[in-house]
Amino acid sequence: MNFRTFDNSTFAMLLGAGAAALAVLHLLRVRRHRRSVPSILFWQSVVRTTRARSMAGRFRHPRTYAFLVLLLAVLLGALAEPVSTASTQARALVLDAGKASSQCLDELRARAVEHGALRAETAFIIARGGSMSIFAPGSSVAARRDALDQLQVGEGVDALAPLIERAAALVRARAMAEVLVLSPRSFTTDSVGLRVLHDVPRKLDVAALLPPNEVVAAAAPSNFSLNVDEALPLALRALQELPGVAQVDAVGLPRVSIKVGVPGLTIADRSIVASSVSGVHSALHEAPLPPLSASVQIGVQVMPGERVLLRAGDVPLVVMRRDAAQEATLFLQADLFAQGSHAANDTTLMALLVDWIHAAARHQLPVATITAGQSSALSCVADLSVLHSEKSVAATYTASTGALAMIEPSTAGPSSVQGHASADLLVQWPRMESAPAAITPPQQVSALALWELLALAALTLLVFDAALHARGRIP
Amino acid sequence: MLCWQLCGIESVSAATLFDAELLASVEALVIRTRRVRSGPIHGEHRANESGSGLEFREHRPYTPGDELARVDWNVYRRTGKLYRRLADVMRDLPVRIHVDLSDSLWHESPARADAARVAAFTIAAIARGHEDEAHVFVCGASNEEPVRVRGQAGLIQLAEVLDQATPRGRTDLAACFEAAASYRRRRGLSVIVSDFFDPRGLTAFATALRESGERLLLLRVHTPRDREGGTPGEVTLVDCESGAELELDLDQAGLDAYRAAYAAFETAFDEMLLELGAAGLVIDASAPLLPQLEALFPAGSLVL
Repeated sequence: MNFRTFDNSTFAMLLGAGAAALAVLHLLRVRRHRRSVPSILFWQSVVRTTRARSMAGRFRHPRTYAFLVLLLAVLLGALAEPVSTASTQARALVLDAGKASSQCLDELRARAVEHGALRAETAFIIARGGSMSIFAPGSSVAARRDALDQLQVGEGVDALAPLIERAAALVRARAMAEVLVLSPRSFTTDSVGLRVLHDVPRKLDVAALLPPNEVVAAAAPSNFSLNVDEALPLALRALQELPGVAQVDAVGLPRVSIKVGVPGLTIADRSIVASSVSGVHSALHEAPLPPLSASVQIGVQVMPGERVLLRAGDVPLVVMRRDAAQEATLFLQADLFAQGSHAANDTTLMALLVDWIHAAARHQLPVATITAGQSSALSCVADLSVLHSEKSVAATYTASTGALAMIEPSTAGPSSVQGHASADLLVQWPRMESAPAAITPPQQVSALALWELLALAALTLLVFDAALHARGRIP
Repeated sequence: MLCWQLCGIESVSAATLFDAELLASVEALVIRTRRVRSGPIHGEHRANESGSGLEFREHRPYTPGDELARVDWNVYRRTGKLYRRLADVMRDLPVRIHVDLSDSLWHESPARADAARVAAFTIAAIARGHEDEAHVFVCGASNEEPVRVRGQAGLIQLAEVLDQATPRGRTDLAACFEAAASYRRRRGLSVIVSDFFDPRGLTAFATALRESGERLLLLRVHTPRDREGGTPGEVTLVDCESGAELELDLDQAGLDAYRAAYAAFETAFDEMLLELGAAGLVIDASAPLLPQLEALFPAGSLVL
């Protein structure tokens, strides 16, 4: 088991320090009863006996001490956010479909399937010699299958080292993760594939945000392509429990790709539009949103200071604006409007936005700060303020606990909702010339989440306390 | 706050002490000695002098200057020689009773001071019943004038004094015994009633007793709890008299050590009795007193 907040040595050190402190407190813990005696003359010899065994004699409640240490370990574990390594064997699979693979594409495809390319937990990169598709862990299996079925050999040749680093970035937070490269190139004695067991260091410094010269070879040097889907797979889940959202049961919204520095702004009024972005997708997708069931991939080009409005049918979903002042800062602003004539009312939109935030936080944008409105917040914490009709409804999402504190649905039913929900999300990446940010792939938090651990600790405490009371150890 | 107040002890009353049944029970008991020092007061004990009297002692040859009235003419008539007829002189036995009423005797409930007071009163009553003059000293941090018990009135006064007695602070048996030295111009019987929990130990007290040359009767008042020592636990022991505190993590080994120390104390007390040639009795304060005292008087008399 690993920990998200601490590494294992820090956890052990904290636990040791805590146990030592508890031991000291335990030794000092004395609850003496005053007893009057006719004379202490005969007790002097008892004092000598007691002093002979001194500290060892004071340590008279080892079970209590063991319990406290256990409690400390549980609390520390809760703070450290344990991640199970046994249940999620992380793997990143790189399929080299460049020019060199033209003779063995079918074999590569078969081996990719054999090694888990179609498993959702596997990070999967298809490199086609100048363009690539990246499937982060947790992404759609259907999309992977489609990508493999439609796999064509590219014209160029990718450098393998960046591919491996990128794949490692996708699984970097997991111990004993492995990167598997399927390539016919003779970079090893194995002419078909190279299996690299990559014990990913925790602070691996890799370029997960792709430098422009690697991905968009034809673009200007100042351009770069950001495949947001790597960090934010905006797979919206069914929200059947919310009224008025029955028709948005399988929204697979999209990889949002942003290419900066390329002139032009794509806006569609009634559909989500993805422009063709070299190196990511080759086709322009236009997917009418209602009934919001399509799984589309879009790419949007943004100029510094310009805005991109994504619309889902009549509903404008996201306005993205490239901030001109700070080169490496990307503002994502979401203005959500509920139109009375549309089935996707404000509750739907708010759910969409919350889910979007959820996804962002779940991926733990490592150097990103997400703020809400004018107030800043720590990463992985996003506040969403929703102004609904005449009352203000607040929804708070806290990524560390996965709890959505409150989200209040509006009046149900189509044609009856007039509302407005807005949230400004600021996502900051470091300047590109500095160490690029690594993308943390989705992690499987162990079954014991923070609140579960605390509840378990409290329950244990109660049981122990009750047992002590029952045995008369506690008056 | 004093121990006896803490414990809420109901002290014995004068009525309890001056109990007709108790007095009747001890009427038959007598303290006997082989010889007593000569004194001015007639009593029931043979003095170490000889003289006129009813109890024949011996004949001694007449020497010029002897009183002719002492010549036994019957012997002269039978033998033709002059002999003096000497008889025992009967004198009283001075009894000094030291009753320790320091705080430690008021610690438990019922207080062992109750047993101590009743024992002292009983010894005084036995002495008074045989024309012996008794002085009762109440021992504690301060030593006051003794109560002189000569007749019935003295016994009543003693009952009142003992009834009104309060805890007297710390135990200092040697000091108490030394304070009564001026009352020991004639050697007699010293009775000490105490728990003998003297911070100075038994040695100093034994030395004072030895140097007094008195006949000694030591009544040690204890309770069964003294031998047990209590229950294990983390305790702060507070000395009832001095207020000194002792923090202990008391376990079975600690209790065993205490019991060993108390057993050593009892052994030392017995050895002190043997060394001083004293009579002694260990009184259980939680048990009826009279049967225990009667055990001290086999066939109704205690010979010292």
